[in-house]
Amino acid sequence: MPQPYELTVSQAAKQINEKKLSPVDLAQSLLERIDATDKDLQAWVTIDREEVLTTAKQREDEARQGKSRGLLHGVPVGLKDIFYTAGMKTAAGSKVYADFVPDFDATSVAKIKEAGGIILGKAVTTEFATSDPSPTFNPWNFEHTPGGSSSGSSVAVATKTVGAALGSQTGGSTCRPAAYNGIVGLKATYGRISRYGVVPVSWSLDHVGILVRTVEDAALMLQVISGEDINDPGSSNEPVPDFIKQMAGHSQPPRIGIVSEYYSDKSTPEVWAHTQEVTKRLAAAGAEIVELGLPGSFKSAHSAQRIVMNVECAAFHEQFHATQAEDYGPRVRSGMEMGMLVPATKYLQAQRLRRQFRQDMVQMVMQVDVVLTPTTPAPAPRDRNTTGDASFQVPWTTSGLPTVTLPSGLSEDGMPLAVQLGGLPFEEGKLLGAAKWCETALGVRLSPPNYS
Amino acid sequence: MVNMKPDDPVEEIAVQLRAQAVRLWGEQRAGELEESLRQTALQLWEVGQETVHRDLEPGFYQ
Repeated sequence: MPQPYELTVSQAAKQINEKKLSPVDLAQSLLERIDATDKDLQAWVTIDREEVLTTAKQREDEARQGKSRGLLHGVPVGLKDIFYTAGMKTAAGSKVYADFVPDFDATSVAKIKEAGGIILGKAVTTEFATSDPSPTFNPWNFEHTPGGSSSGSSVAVATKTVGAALGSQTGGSTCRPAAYNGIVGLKATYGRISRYGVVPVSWSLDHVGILVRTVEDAALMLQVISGEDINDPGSSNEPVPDFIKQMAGHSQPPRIGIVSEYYSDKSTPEVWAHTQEVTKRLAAAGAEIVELGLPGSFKSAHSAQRIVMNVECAAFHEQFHATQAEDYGPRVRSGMEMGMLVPATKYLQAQRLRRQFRQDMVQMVMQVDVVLTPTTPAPAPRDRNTTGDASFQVPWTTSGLPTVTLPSGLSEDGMPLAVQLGGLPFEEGKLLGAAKWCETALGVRLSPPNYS
Repeated sequence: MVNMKPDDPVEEIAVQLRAQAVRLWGEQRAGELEESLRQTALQLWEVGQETVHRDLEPGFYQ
């Protein structure tokens, strides 16, 4: 019989719905798990235990009366500390926002609450969700980076102090730490999930990310937090389908596109050999494998992303920078200063290239069901002064196409390896169906040995 | 004000960025930013090399 903290989100929600699990017992189990692990891991920054247990008791009383608020009734969820939480500090890992207490919830937070979810607490982020490393430790090996910027959210999910946490991705900040910690990460299509009430890095690149331990949980969380939001100018009015149903409807072996160009050169030999082995295993299980070529616009996609990110970051922080430049970490500060130097014409050119790149990526992905690449060029580096390499996520982020990362094995030195699947805009159901098929075919579920 | 010509080489772009950094934040800070300035110059050069169709508008919210 597993401890409550070991349950996935779907398992916990089902057991609560069937009155086999008490929301209070679940919350208590997770809080005790945090007590037992977080002095070492430093994944959490703010937890209001009283509020968590009070809300859990309310959900328990409702469940006993046969009332369910929604898909997450009684299930705790973690939030990267850039999501606005009414009355709870949202410091964004920074001195500049150290005392910031929002007076409203981010739209995604409000949706979690509407679905009966309980906000367990705020997870550590790198400063303003950029690349100055956070204090969080990688549970697989403390000498390696946990990745970033959603470092706390990823480590919290990997070590079972929560079943699901929200993160964000402007470059590679959801899928990369998910890969480095051996869990599942989902970045939906740009516009699918509202960014309202999330401290921005770059308005036109920021995505809300989902960190969980199974593809099924990714679909469930996506169902809860998706949808149009008039408060987010980037929000899409695409209808929100039943993702879980769509995922189940795409259970057949997928047609998978593989891209050797760029990815084979950029990956370590170990990662590329592992990716080829994964591909063979998927083919043996019935997937059709197709080699694809990258569009010409790929070669400037990384530079366009960096220019857009730095300029928009500079625009957001300009007032703070004028008076508090010394309060910023070195990387976020230099990034915004670079943004202040970029001519407007070059920023707009970068945005035009992004649009071309998105169109070209859609043409490439349309040839298959999903595209598979390694999630990262190497496993988590043995260096706590970096958050790792985001270059394999950037094409999906800058084009806004949806992507999911899955754990796929271990490196020679025992660190998680992962593959990333990308799909067409607003076809997350198909993407998740293919991801679930791959998850089942590979049969890889990772858990850090000292935190299993 | 950084004023780049479309055919400026990376080195020239870096010189212009550095001059603007000195003007805004002083020589010492510009020196600290040397590596970032070089990377940004390369990014701007790469973006400047691309030709997009004249009717293609910026993406912004994709």
